[in-house]
Amino acid sequence: MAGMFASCKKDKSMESDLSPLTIKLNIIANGTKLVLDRPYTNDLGEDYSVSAFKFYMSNLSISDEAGASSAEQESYHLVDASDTTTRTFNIMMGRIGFDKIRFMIGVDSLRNVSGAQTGALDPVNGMFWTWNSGYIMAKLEGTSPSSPDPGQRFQYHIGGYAGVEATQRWVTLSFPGNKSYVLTANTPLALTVDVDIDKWFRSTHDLPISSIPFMMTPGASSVLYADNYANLFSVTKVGNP
Amino acid sequence: MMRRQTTIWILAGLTMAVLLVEACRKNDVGGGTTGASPTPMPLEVPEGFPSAQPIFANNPLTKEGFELGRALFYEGKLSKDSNFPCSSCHQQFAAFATLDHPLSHGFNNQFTRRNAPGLFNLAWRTVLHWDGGINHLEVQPLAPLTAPNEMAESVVEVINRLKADPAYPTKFKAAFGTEEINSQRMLKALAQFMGAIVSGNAKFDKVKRGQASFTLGEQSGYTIFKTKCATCHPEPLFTDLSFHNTGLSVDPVLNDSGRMRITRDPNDYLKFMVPSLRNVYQSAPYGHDGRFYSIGAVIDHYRTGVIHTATTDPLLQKGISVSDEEKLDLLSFLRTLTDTTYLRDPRYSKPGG
Repeated sequence: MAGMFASCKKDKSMESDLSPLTIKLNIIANGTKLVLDRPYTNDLGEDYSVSAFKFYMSNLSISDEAGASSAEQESYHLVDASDTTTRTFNIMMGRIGFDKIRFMIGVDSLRNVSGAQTGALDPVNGMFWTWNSGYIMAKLEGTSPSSPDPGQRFQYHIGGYAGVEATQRWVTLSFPGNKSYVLTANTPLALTVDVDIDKWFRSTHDLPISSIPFMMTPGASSVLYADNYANLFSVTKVGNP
Repeated sequence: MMRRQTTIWILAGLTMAVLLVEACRKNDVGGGTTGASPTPMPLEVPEGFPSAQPIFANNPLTKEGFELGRALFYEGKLSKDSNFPCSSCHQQFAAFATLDHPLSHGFNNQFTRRNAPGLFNLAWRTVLHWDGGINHLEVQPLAPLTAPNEMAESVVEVINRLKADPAYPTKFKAAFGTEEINSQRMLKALAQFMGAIVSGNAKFDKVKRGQASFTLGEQSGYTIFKTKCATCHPEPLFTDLSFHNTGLSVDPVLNDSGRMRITRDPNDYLKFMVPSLRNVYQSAPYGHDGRFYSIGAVIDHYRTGVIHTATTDPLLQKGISVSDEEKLDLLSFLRTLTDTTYLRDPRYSKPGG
């Protein structure tokens, strides 16, 4: 118990040593900023438009080659393409040198089995399955002439948190030119991260809308989408917020 | 086995995480300005019961939290048309199942897909529902609350309604320190109420404690029970908390695949959670779709009705041989599992009702 209290105190005293690191997410389709409901063409030649795109970005940390690292506490962010306020956020990090950022797409398995949550993880956000407990890690919905479903809709709700069905994916990103940076008290920093929706359909796997227009349960197919969404991210700029 | 180990590790991790968070919270509360803190309430663990699951590890059970959960359990505002509080399908006199209804009915005269299970001793469960799809008691209410054929409401709307009701901010403050109303607090309060409902004072328990004795028929039934039923319904919970295919025919309308719906494993096809037999005489009808109107009909199914498919439980390959006399004794024994203390416990009934 003494150790625990000590660790809590340490956290508190460290708060003064933290600085904000700004994360700016650019959601991209066909190389330009995504506009909802506007037509694009994916790398499989299918026309599509997006009506909703949401995903969890969690457990953010920065690190350097030497092994220094700092992790955000209670690190859960729900990114929503329809809500600009969710696409830029600050994370409080220790003032260290760093050349990588690491985060999880989705929600770690522990929070999937820990009962009622709040904030980004509040079930009111529509990202929690009520009949088969667990978070929807990422959600992409829209229409495509390639979809055989009613209204030419496609709907991907990707989740599953355990074992071979896990759809959380760790993403580690270096910075342009493999540069490293130092977070200080006085020089605010921002990372611009591109999120390329085209890779949802084609990166690790080819996942044509014509073959799978609808995904609402965990399982082997959902895992394929998770493999793909781990590829959406790249840091395109590091600079002033 | 693997799954069990994983669960244990997850629980161990969870407990550690909770301990750490709690330790920190205690530090933070230091100069507490939130007024009187809620009164801790121990979970009642009947003699002979195993340790409960750590369902209150990050939701300390308190008198005020339990009372808030009780108010919410009986609150019509949790449903779309106010007619379907939790208690509409979970009636105390029926061991919190729905008396006399194979399937319960929810919003707009729609049937549910399964027989409402009784609510007691939930603190000993790791997963909930007939298919085990719910992994924590706190998130269970989200299922009936949002199901279009049950309470049919959105969580956002329910929270807004509770905020607009002058009675609730005070109750939330008493339970959680501030008047804030959010889904997490609502769910934690409901979990406190449901999780603290305990049934462990049936005649069977009194016999075990040396406070009563079985009749000859009950004793004989108990002996038969231990040989023929207790593998899946072991005391003291009278369920092994696992999933079995008991050889029921598939209802073509419901077409319910059971546990497979959650695991997608064909080996789980038609497997359902073993229900506890406590208070079984108060909670007819029986089976995941309520197809059996009497306990005798359930026993008859095991005697002659078991359908053999790839996933039918190996223990039931030949059914269960029970003579007519043994059946009567079994029924006598099962009556000793009725716990009138729990069925009439005023702490569990409608507040002010």
